[in-house]
Amino acid sequence: MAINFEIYSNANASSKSVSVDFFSDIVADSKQGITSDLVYYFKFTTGARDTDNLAYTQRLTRDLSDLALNGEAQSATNTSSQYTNVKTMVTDYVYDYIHGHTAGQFGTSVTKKAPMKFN
Amino acid sequence: MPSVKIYNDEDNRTYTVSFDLKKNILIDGDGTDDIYLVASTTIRKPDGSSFGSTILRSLYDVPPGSVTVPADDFTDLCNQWVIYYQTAASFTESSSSSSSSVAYSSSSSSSELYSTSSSSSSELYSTSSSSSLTDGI
Repeated sequence: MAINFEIYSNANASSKSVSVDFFSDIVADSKQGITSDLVYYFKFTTGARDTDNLAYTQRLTRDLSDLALNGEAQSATNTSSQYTNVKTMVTDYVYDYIHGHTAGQFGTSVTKKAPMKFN
Repeated sequence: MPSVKIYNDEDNRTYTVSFDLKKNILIDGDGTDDIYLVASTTIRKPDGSSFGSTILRSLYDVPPGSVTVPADDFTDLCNQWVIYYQTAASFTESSSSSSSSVAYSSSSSSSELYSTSSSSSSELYSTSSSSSLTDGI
């Protein structure tokens, strides 16, 4: 069952939501390639836009080392350590949606993503 | 919620193993919302009792007796539980495919050792400590 996070901005008196769910599918992407193997993964989605008015693409995590900043570092904490559990992983991804990140944040190769827009 | 269907040719029945994502305050948590998976199955133990449901918080929450600790990733974690339920329920499989094979043996202590082999990993675990399952909330 999907979990929905309602994020409220009191400055703008508005809310946006981020959803995360757990799936088992054959995944066709650059990481998996073409395969018949089933993969279990978490998928994050949102209909919100960032302050550059850009939409968010869906984000997949296959294990606790899939860190929010391009797999190289967590977003809320400057560490390359993998997440300790599902809760810390989900929390960090939601944080990244809300706050965004700068290009090369924490010395990673991540590209810039603006914070979530609430107005 | 991912659900795996398992057809058991021995009793001509189809069983499921499911993994549900949950967010709740857990009784053994820190008082804040916990986010976790709940593994459950319609497979029954040989004595007819239920396996109950198991909370999976991290890749360390592998089945009892697993030697792959922590699991490699979420796929490995879930696959370990799928194999565990079948083995603990004494499902029997005699066929092998090009990608995996299952072999069973029983020892004098009545514990079962089994392995699955795949292109990337092999797992060995015993069912002798299977009583440590906890019921889900």
